[in-house]
Amino acid sequence: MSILTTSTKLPDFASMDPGPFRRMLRVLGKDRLALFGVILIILVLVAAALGQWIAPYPEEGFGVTNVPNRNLAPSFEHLLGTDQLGRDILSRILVGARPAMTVALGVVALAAVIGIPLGAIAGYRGGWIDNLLMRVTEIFQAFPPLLLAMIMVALLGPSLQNAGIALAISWWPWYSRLVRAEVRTLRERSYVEAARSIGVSAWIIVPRHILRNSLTPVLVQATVDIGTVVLAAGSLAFIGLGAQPPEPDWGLMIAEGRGVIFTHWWISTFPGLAIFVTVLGFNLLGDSIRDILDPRQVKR
Amino acid sequence: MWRFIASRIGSALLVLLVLTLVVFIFTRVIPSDPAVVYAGPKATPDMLERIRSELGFDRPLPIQYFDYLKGLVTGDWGNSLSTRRPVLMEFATRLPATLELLFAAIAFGLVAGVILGVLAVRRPGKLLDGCIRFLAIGGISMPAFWLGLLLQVLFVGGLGTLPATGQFSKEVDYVAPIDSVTGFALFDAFITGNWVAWSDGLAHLILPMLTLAAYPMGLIARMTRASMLEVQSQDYIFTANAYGLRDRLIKWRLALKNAIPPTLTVTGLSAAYALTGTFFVEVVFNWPGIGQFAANAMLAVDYPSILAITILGAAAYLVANLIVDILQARIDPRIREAQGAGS
Amino acid sequence: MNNILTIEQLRVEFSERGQVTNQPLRGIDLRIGAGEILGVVGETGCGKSLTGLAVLGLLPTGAKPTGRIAIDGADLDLTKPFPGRGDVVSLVFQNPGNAFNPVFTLGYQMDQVVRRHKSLDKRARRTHILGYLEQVGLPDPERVYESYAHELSGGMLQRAMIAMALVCEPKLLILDEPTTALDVTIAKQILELVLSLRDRFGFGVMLITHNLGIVREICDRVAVLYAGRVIETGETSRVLEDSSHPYTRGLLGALPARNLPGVPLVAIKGSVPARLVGITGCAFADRCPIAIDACRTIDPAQVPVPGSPGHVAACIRTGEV
Repeated sequence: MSILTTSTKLPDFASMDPGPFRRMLRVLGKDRLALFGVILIILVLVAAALGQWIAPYPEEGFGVTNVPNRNLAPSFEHLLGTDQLGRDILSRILVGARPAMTVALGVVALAAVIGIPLGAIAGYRGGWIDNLLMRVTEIFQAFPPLLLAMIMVALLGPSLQNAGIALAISWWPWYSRLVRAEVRTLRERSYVEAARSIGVSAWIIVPRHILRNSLTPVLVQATVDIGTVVLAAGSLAFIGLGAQPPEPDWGLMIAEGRGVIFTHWWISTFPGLAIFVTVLGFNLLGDSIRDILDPRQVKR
Repeated sequence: MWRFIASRIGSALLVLLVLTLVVFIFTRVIPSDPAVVYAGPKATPDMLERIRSELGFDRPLPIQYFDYLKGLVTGDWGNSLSTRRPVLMEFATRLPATLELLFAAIAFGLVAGVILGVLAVRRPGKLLDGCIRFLAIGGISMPAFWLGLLLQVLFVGGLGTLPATGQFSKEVDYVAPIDSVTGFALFDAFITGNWVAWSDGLAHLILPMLTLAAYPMGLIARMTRASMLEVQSQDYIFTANAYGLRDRLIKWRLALKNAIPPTLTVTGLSAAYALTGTFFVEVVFNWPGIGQFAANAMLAVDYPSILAITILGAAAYLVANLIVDILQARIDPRIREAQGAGS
Repeated sequence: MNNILTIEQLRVEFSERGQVTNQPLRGIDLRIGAGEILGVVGETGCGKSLTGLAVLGLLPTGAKPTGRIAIDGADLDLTKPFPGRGDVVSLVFQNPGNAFNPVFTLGYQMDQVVRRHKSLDKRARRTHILGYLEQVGLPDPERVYESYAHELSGGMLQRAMIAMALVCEPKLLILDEPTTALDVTIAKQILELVLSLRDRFGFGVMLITHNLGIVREICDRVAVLYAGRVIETGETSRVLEDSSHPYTRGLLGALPARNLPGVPLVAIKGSVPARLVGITGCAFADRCPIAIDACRTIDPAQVPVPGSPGHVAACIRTGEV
């Protein structure tokens, strides 16, 4: 026990850096576009939290049809119009915010839960485990993630849940590589070497000294990825490989209005705008803070 | 150089082997039984049994996989379960249209993205830079299929200037049928001097191309901006200024040539990923490419087609990266040397 | 003697929200005659390079120059940015490895410079450039013309850089630490090359360096800069052998070659202030071993050093110690 207390009292050099989150706040003060992104994100989060209570016709949002009111253009009763089954589109969008955000958060969390431990083990242990894991992630990365997800959903059977699982499976390698790179630099730091030299076990060093300090970049990346996952899940739903009717899914709503786009343009346009606004918010924020991480990273 | 290309292809084959194996195993253990899909909803258990043995599902997995690999090499990729025609034939007839769209979109995205990226660094942090940044990130954030619908509403429904769907007007078949030379219809129309078909095809190409180009354009604009900023702080740009060379020459030639190689890496990646994008764009614009076929194959659990799409995805990545490597070597003599040394 | 370069009371200021935050040049006076090599020496941050940049019109953004700069008799308009002028003044850089664009051949880059300033056709330009490549002692000019920067050694690159500086037949050459990045033997060859080219073409040279050994070897005159001012100037031999300003003496004291074995090197204590704003008195007073109270209040003017013609120093104790 005494060894442990000694090691934890070693100066934590990594924490001397103000940290990405502190820097992020500083960036937001100056960068108006990033601030705009944050406002969009807050709007979407509010919709996700309170959507069913602020929606004008909540039951229609959940799928109750009202056929006599079908295909109404935007008006004061129906601000964004109604769809082909007479459901209020604004309500559908507001109610749909929660599943969209839930799936996005779930996918990112699942990918992180798979990716982070694997990356940490590979980075800390090195050797054949590291080699094997890196080859596996390379194979994943040599393939468009969205296409991989599409193929998996096709084989698992289309549903929102399967779309989420498939996206998480296509996404985790990015987190693994990010964590691995961080861990590999951190494990050479003097405070980690000091802990190792006095015999602290890896089970304590890795979570306590390494992961804690390498998680911030991963968290920032994950935040940014939420937007990308919303887009991916919407895409899957659009071609029928995600949420199924009558769920209030944004991608699905676009698909439902596609056939009548020239006569009833609002049915597809506003759900698409919801996806666009969400993704844009996260991307604007992410672009601003990406320089803190690796400016050369791309993914889709 | 050749050794370099060979090693790239070698590692791509490995990726392919693993991917097909995984997808293959998946197709055999999945909940949705392909035999059921193939036989239709009214099939009796007897029929299902017969179909299974017909499709070879009753034999051990390793043998099935080995047979599949053998088929790949000999050109028998199996029959599509939904169209009942050979998968390879389906691909051969549809792939050119997809590739034409893909090339056009990447070329447009590259040119527009680079121009925007260079314009953005004229005065970093100022209004123009901000506008370009919004445009670029907007392009990255836009759901392609939604952008396609919006463009249709705007240009077809609203302005009535461009055709909404398809690759050519129906009349082209009667008025000026295209002689197939390479299989790439628009390209063939051009080289055979079939201007009626060519201009008609071009008009059809514009909207899907813009839709598909939005994402690469945004990505490339951001990357070009970042690398231009880095290059502009280099000594050699300072030298060029000190010798009084014209600003336009310095920016668009001397600096840009240094900023292009990192931009190309991003272009290659987004080109590979844009293959997925074409699937959505083709559905929206009713483009006769591989995308619609792929979407249907996935909905129908048409596993021979799904396996072929997997191969296509991996091949797209390989080809895009090979092209990027070759271009980078042409631009930067240091990369040329590194590749010549055989890495 | 008519001067190629005349600088009078050159000041450069940076300000933020109307407040002057830094004044790196506080009234520089310099002149370079035709065929003359002037050494500009001083520690990092004393304003040597900035003086060169001001002459080239390449001050960093936000810098505001005032005073007078005349090149070959023509005054520059300091109020607006002016284009670089490879035909009158040209520049050779510290690090030849970074001074050439890595993705163009050296020939292409030199051709662009010639094209900008001379109206010659393509073939004439090539012959012209090859001629200068030969002049700077490069063995195989044709090959160098087709080479990329990474294919040549540092010494060859610096020769090529000098050739590029000469292709437009400038009147003034600014050499900014031209040998710092090179091996000692190569550095010596480059300096000899500069001397012989000067004799052949008769251009003036502003040699910016912190290395007094180089100054001693090739400079006709020397100007010692400290905190944005010329604190001592005159013929090289007089300034170096009979230095008057305590800062110059300090620099010489820190030079190993001058010290006898066993005698410890003397360093000047402290360092150049990072920001120069609102200085009263002599800027060197805080580091000066012979400072008196008056040094902190009186702004020292340049006064002739007694018994040493053409040699001035900006120290109120000149002639006393």
